[in-house]
Amino acid sequence: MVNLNGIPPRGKRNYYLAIGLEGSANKLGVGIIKHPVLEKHEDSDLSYECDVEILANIRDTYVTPPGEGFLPRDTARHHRNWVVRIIRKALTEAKIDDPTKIDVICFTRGPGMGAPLHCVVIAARTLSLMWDIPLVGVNHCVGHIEMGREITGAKNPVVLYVSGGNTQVIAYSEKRYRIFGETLDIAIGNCLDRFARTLKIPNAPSPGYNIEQLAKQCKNKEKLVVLPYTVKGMDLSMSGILQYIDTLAKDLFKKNLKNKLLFDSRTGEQLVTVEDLCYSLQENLFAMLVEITERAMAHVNSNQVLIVGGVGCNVRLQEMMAQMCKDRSNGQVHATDDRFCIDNGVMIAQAGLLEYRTGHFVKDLSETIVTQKFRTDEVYIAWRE
Amino acid sequence: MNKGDTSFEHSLHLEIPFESIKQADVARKVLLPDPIMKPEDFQVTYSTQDTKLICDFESVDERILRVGVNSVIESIKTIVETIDELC
Amino acid sequence: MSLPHATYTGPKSTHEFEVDPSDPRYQTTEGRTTGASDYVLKQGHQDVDKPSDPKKVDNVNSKTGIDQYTTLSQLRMQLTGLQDDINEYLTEKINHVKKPRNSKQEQEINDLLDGSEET
Repeated sequence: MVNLNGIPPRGKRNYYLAIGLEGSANKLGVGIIKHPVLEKHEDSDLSYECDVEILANIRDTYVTPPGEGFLPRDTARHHRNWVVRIIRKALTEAKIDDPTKIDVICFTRGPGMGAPLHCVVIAARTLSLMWDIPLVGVNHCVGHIEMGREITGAKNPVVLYVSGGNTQVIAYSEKRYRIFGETLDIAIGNCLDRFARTLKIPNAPSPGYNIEQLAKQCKNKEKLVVLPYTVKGMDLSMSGILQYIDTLAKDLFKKNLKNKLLFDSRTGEQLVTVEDLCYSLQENLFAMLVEITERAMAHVNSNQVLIVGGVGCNVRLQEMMAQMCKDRSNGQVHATDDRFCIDNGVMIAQAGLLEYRTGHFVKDLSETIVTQKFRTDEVYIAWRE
Repeated sequence: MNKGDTSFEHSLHLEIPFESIKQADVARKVLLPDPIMKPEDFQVTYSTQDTKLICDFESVDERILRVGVNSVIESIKTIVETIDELC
Repeated sequence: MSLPHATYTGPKSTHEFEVDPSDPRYQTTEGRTTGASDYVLKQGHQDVDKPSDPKKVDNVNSKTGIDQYTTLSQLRMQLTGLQDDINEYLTEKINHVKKPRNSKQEQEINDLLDGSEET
């Protein structure tokens, strides 16, 4: 059993206040949360029932023109130039007049893009020293998981973490989030984003969202475009699929009539549309995810799945996963909406506050050096049994 | 760090005046943890003198010096803006 | 409050960088050398991520009607101009001496700006 009330809140209050700063990719997020002090947390395993109150969830996304990805230099500039304004906006929305009353400042230590992460940590350190508030460095993935657990109340699900930068199947075991399966090359969000660039569709609100909308408009759902299916045991690979579908798209735009998959060999009539490609790509990739998730569920004997990360917003993925779960002794899929699937500061505050409440926080600023690579299983999950 | 190392042919001395000793010290502590570039090519020493933050940069090359100095000044601007707007 | 300043010392020259607070160069938070990268501007990107404006002190100087900025905002603007001066000076020196590009140093610079694959 775990005690989450070991460190009392500041000023003899009966609630904790935490601020979370997220900037590992192109989203800059600041969140402020409140946890009431509850007796049930003194000696239990209830870190997914904190009764969190979200006082502010502010986010600004660095969006690039169609056909372009976001480069670290410019993403860092975006975060650097907006971080103070976004923090101030969050404090105002949370109606916090005296920020020195906050219990802990949580920030993303990694994984992610180095320069953008660094810009955010400079602000975090400054506030910590000026306001005299402890810091907690958070693993981005663990942030997603803890937010997912708290919002959905899923007790001990297999977690599918799918985003632009990560694709992992995770299950909790003995103080660690263990990676059961993962991508061997690129993340699924990266695959979708890069295909969106090939198609030159807009990047706002996100390239993945726009692929999803195109897929919905497919009129040929019975006739899937056959793509490579590359599950490898517990893991999966996606770069080959991306390469293949990029070639198909380019042949389509160039009107390469020699491609019999795309154009009728006799009449030259176009057989496949961009919507068809988007639909088939999603069906293919999501089927692979469902397979490796199911494999992990079999290993740990679970029938619950929690999907977190930006790609988790995708309704089709949720549907396919729900179908598989239902077929497995009536299991369930849990997912959050875009406030929390997409990178945000609240999830960092949630994971950071849980860690703080077990008595762990930064003792020396050398512990706050950001890191591009930070595996999910490196974190000691002190707040779970 | 080798102060007398002659391979660091280029150096820049930067002084930033803050409003208080505390602010200068905070700035120093915030900048200190992060490595910038390979120590054999670029080094920076942070110190304070009363209310001033002092950065002493050394580099083998103008280009690396410019990049390193820029990176640190960007961080200092963030520190200044943070204190100005939020503290 | 005193002004930020810098001194460059090189094998062939030294240079003092002084800030003149009445010069418009030192009265903006938008640096000339710290805009969006050329690459994205060429793609037609509109820069909406400029640095924030300086912070005004509450009481406007009623005699002149000119806004007064906080000491730290003034510092930020002066530092922005100083940074431009340093960048332009060093860039000139770099361009003046045509050295062959050192790929190892290039990589190190790119790693700092974009992050490297190593942990």
